[in-house]
Amino acid sequence: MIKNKSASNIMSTNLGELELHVLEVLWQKPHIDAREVRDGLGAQRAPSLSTVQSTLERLYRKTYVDRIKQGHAYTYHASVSRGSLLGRMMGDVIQLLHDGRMETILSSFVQAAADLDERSLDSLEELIREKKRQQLVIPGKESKSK
Amino acid sequence: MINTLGSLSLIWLMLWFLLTLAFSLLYPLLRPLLMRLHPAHGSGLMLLYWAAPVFLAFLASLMLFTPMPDDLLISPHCHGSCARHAPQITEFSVAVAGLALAVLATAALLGNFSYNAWMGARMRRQFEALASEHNGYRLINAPQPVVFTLGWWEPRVFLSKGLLNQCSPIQLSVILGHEQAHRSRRDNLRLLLVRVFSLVLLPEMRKRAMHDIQILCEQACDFKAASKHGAIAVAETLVHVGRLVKNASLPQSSLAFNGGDLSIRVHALLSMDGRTNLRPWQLVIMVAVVAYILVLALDPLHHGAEWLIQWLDPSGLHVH
Repeated sequence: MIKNKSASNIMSTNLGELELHVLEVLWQKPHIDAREVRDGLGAQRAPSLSTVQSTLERLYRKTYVDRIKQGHAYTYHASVSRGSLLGRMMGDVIQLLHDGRMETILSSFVQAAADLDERSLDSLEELIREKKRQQLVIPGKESKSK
Repeated sequence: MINTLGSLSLIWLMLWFLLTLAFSLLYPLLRPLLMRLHPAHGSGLMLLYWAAPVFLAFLASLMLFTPMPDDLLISPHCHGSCARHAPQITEFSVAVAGLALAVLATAALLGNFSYNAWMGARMRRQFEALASEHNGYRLINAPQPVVFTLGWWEPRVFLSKGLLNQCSPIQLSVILGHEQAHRSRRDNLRLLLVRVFSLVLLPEMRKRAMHDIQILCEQACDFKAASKHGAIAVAETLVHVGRLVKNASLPQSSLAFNGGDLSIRVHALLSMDGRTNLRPWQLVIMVAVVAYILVLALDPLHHGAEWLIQWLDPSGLHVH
């Protein structure tokens, strides 16, 4: 029996490290049971079977995975694609940069906000071109500004 | 013991409040000077500036309670007895209230710091779990053009495939140079500290302080990248990435770029030779001046604290 749940309420920030590793295993090999998930985690980070089972249960409740009952056990598969989850996480980052809530948590090359138009970018490019021309007229200036 | 701790706490809190007020009022005058400095120095000084009220207040409060030779720093005076004394509350409930307030204030600062530190660390772990390791950065297989640095003590640079595919090797090198500068300067931690220390500022002043140090940190990293690739290459890359992100189909329909900041950074790069470097002797003079003011302030602080205690606890100061 497959329970379809909407993935629209997924918040990328409510996933723990182990949950992400479990999802990674399920993306590579869908429709496997908890024991196979544990094996897929590798010897280095393999937790106990009960930890994997509770992680899968949490992921199911958070609607990141679906499950099918086969005999006495469930097999699991991811209900959200890797690309979609990453897209959401990137969207979160962009949103955090945009509204300034997390300005101290991450630094970005260009921060998002809402006051730049094409004309401003064009005039900045013109300014840079002008500076380049000046440097060509005065040789040696480029090395100084480096 | 409680009376001494309560008095010290109350004096610390009052001084912290007064110094915050004074530093906020002085900031508009000092800001142009700070912004004219080389951004690497300016951002360091700005962190010290906003951390100063809480630490200077604490240091001054401790000095008031530290035994010193008679009449050295505090003018001689008597409250019934003429023995050497520190300003002390005698009313137990007032002392407990002072101590409780100080504990609350410290817990609020530490709580804010810990919460943000935890959030940042968690976010870094999440991206690390999904990113693949490359030379100097972690690649995220996502179409959005984004690059950012996450983490406090050992920050990591994350770069999206969307940005990687739309940049030339030189532009990529500029971007990574900028982000590596954030990493080596531990800018996230620097910004978090200013965020915590500025919690006591009025919202407008806090916003301004945060924005100023953010701009200085970005400029410091731009300048670092420019030292390798040249100011023009960095400015061109900034505008290129600005255009990429602006044109990207991002989840938020209203999303664009911080044009004001981008413009400030490009202008700063094109005139980077005009920024003043802070020399070590200037720093030594600054520290010496602050120390001198602190020592000179002890006498008025002592009498001010006694006035405050007398106001809170009229029976207080006459017994030492």
